[in-house]
Amino acid sequence: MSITTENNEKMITLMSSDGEEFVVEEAVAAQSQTIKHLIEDGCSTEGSIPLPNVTGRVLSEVIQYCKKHSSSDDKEEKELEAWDAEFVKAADDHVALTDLMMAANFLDIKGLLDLVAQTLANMITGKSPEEVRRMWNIKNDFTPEEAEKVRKENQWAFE
Amino acid sequence: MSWSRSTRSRKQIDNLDRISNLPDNVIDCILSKLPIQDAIDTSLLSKTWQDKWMLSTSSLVFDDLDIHFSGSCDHHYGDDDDDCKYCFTKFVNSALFLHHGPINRFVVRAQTITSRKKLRKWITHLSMKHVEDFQLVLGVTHKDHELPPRFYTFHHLTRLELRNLVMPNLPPDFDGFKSLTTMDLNSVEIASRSLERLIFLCPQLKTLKLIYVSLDYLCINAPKLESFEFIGSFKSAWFESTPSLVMLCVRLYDGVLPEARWVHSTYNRCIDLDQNMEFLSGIHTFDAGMQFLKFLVAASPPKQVPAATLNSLVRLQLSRFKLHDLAAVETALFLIRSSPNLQFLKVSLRRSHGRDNPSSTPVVQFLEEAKCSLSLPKLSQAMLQWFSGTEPEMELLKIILACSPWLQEMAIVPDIPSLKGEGSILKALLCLPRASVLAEIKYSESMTEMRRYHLQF
Repeated sequence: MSITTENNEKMITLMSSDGEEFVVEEAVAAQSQTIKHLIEDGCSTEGSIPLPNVTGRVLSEVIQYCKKHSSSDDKEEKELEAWDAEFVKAADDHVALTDLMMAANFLDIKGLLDLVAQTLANMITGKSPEEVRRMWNIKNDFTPEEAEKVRKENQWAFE
Repeated sequence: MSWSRSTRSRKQIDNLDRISNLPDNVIDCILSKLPIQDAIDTSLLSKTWQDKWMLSTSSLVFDDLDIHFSGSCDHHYGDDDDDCKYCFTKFVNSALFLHHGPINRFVVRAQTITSRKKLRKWITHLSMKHVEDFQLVLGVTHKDHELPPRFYTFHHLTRLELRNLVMPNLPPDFDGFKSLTTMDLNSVEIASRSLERLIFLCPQLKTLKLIYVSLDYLCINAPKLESFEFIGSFKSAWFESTPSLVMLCVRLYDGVLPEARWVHSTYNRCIDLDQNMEFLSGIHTFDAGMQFLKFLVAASPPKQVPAATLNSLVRLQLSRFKLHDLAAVETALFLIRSSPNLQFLKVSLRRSHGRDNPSSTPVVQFLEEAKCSLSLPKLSQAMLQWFSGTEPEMELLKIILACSPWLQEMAIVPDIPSLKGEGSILKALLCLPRASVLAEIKYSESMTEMRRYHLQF
């Protein structure tokens, strides 16, 4: 598990749910609190850390995020913000975003979780419930009477 | 129609509702980032969502700019009772009491809160919620903006921001905000004694901002304090214990000259600045307003040779600096002389608005003499802001250029209205002797442009 590169950077191997392996610097992977704790506890199987909840496709994106955020310092805040915006834009739709969100949650990467949550929140800000349902494939299971009741209950907030 | 697993296209899989089944903490994360009315609106989505906002939103942010009412409610300021007609206050009240989950963060940004009774209810309610981040930012001062003393039972606070509020005296049994790391008080009325105890009883405090605060005295005992910013007035001040302080900014109001002298609490006597700069000894960044420099001078006129060395000081900013004030110039030079590792110096000059300055001869003489003995071995960037080309200003510029062998950048932002003869000033600038071959003079009236290539300020 602990290969060392020329720069003396400790490398570790992460294994996705579909068996794909990723070799990354420990400092990059340790942005995930979950992985950090797994390393500390010595939880590796045959040299790699298994991540049963994350697919290879999502994991490669998460690693991309962690790499960027471990190599930048505070001074480059503006640049990092722009990078983040491009990064979530590439995720393209809410399906990819929820996958990323679940991975960020499981891996416990606060910055990524906040970033994706903000993106999802921006998607529905100012939209009507009907528009949100359509976008997120949410089934309206209220009867018209129930819907009216909830609307009445919420009326205080809008008038 | 039946679909086998293999023929199911990606499109069909994507028709699943993924968001509704996200774990609660993830939903909380999304709901907390929505404007509150949009968050409340999610209860109309489906039965699963009906109670989510009131159970899973742990961050409640009420900003009166975000909240829009459709009804005919005229936003007038009601009386101090339950019939308060000001919709915003009513809105916060309804949302807060409908909400059932834990609240980590409670933020109100509004022009005003019109009901003292409601404010008291909110604080009582929140005192049972383990609030960690509490921000009450109001636009105007109002008789009802007195924080109920119950607020002092928010034991879980890590961040506090208050604006335009009156803080009650600390109860005698207050045992502190043990986890508070950031405190930002703006236009807040608080008794000096209460503030002293409050700071002392927040042992984890790292960042403290006191902006537009008038105090009798300021006493700081905060072992973990790293950054302290003060704008306001005090008659005396002392830093009793601030071993971690690296950033200090003090600007005092104009015209409120400190009456008392720099007093040391233990000995209750005036101390010499040049013998007692311990409070400055760990400072990395120091931003001193003109009045504060005068305060330091009032405490003790600096002597020629520095007794203490400010080895940590890298960044010095002198704000609203009156270059014709000899005592202030002496103190400034004294600070610079005592800081062998100074890399960044910014002097923001007080704009003169066309008034005649008193005689500048003593200052010019002083600066001329200082030039011979001064050395700024590490200075790499300097900036003079609101430069109008007077004699003392030219002398200061000469000093910086002549005494800094490693200077890379000398930025000058002119004060166009008071600048006389820009052409001849620029010619004179070009001829000034420079100790550093690398020194580049940058001259621009646009601060935005300056900031672009002058990142350090």
